[in-house]
Amino acid sequence: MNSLKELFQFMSERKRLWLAPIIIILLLLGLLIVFVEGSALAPFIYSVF
Amino acid sequence: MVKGRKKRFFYLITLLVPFFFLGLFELSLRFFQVGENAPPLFITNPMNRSQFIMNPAVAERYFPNKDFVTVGAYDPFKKIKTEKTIRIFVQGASSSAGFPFRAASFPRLLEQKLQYYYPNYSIEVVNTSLVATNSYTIRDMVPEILEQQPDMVIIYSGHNEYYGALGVGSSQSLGRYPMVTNFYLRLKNLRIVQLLKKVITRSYGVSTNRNGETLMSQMVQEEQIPHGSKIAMLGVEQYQANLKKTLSDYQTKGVPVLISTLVSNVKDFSPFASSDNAYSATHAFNEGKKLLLAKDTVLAKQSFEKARDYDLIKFRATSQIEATIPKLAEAYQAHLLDMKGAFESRNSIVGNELLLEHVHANLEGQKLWAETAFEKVSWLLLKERNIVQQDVEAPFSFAIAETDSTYAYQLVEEMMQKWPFVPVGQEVQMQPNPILKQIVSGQISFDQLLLNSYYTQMSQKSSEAWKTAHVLWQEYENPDYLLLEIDALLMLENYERAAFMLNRFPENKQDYRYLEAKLKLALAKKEYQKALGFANQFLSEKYDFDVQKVFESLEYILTHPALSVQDKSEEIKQAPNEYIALLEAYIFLKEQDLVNQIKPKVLKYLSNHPALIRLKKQGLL
Repeated sequence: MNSLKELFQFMSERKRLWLAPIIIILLLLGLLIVFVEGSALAPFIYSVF
Repeated sequence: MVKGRKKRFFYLITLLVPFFFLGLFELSLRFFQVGENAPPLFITNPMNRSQFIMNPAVAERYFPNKDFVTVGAYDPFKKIKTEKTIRIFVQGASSSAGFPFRAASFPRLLEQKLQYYYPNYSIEVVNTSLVATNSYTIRDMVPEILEQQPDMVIIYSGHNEYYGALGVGSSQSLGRYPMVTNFYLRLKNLRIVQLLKKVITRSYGVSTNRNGETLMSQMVQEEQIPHGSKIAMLGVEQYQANLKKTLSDYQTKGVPVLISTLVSNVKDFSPFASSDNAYSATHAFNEGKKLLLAKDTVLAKQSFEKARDYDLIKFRATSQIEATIPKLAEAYQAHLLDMKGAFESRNSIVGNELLLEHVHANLEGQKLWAETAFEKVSWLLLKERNIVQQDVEAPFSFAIAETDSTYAYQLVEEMMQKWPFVPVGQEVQMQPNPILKQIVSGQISFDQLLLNSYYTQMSQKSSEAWKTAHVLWQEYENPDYLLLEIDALLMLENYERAAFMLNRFPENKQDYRYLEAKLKLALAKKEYQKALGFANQFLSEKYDFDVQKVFESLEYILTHPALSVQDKSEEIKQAPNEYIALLEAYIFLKEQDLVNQIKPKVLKYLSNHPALIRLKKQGLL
């Protein structure tokens, strides 16, 4: 119980640190979407098909 | 103050807590049904729940904008594969999808021929090709294809490596690396990723607009890929990486693969865009034409292929991609299907003789494709499963609907008036063909179109009618269309093929329509004893006035063999009712010759008979 209290104390002292992975992951996923999902040209040609 | 090991431990937990929250967030999104799993490749066929079909929405996995989503072929296959099933999957893009044909695609033609020469097997050629996709799609579909126990897989891919969905020419920066793109494809089911994608799309409009002409012209400039450039090389690497994984997965599971060499129009198709430097595609193309005029075919071919490689808009597979295919086949013990060789055996340099434009085969090309694949598939079936072709005396001919071709050629004609077939700004605004417009918009369905054509052909007694019905049957697998084909074949007195098609009737052979078709065939072949049995069986399934009359007529003829159609006036006078019944029987059996023989005599001797007056009133005489 004491350790858990200490842990929360530890995390509250390092607010930015424990939030960093979330931000980094979301940022990476966002970049992945932007980089990968470009614009395919081929469908323009065959759009009537 | 936290110290030592405990501190390190707390750091670790602190780092893991966000992942816990992300996981919790993901679960909450799923619980509240935000987003959905990426569409599966195969879904239950709504028309027949014992079958799977390719999911019409599967392309959503690969295209950022739902407007781009293309729908693949409708090729149902059984959920439970039997021993007598030969199941072949075809993977590729528009060429193997059969563009611009709807039904005359080479996989369909291949299926026709295989079914003809392996009548004791149920042939399932399942075409998973999607227009405007590339090796990413092929690789991504492998696990789901493997679940369906394929007997073999045919791969025809390489033309869309640059501009197809997720291709190097369509992505940016890191997205050009296969590892990154394939990783992204794996994450697509995560609701967090889906939510993020929605936010990004709404905020920055990553997706493009299908009708964005200005956008298109902007893209043309951005998407030009010079020969030897980094992007050109990345395209080859992308192809190699995806095909390596694909072939390795199939090899591990022991599934034979036929990987095809690629065909493109080098002789009659001028490059889309050219540079002015040493890699001028236009210059190389003109050189090729000069050499061809001078009848130097070898050098001409080299020049034409250079022109294709130098083309700044890479919608045709380059020599580097072509060269990769035999190497990959060898490395992963796949079988090479030399389609390029087959096309070049007809014309040493591939051109308009077999292709419609830059890469898509015309009808002759589709047939040649199917023939070439058929030989290789037959060889492989013998090698892998010891399945032997059946000797069939009657020559095989492909069933191709004229309507399909007309529609396809019009489609290509319209396509060729737009970029990149004409430079940006010089597009010709064609008045779309009204029928084509109705077909594309779905106002006229393909089956309606074919049915109209079928009935017209039947009324004209055209030999094309059975082909139209066959295409309908192959496209929709509706037994009604099979019966239409049998009707057409009976009209054309092609009883052998009619009997062959009867055997293709779906498993539930108790269907009264199956009996009706058998009855019709037996009647056409004048096998009256057999026909009587079928009519009897039919009537036990379903009452039908016409069949009842046919049954009575057959029974009458078969139980009164003493009656003769010869001119024996005494006999006719002595048994007037029997002779009138005989006449009526022949009328119902549509035995026009016999009706013509007996009618004058009956009319001559029994003109006032009440039964004869009734027949006249009914318009049967």
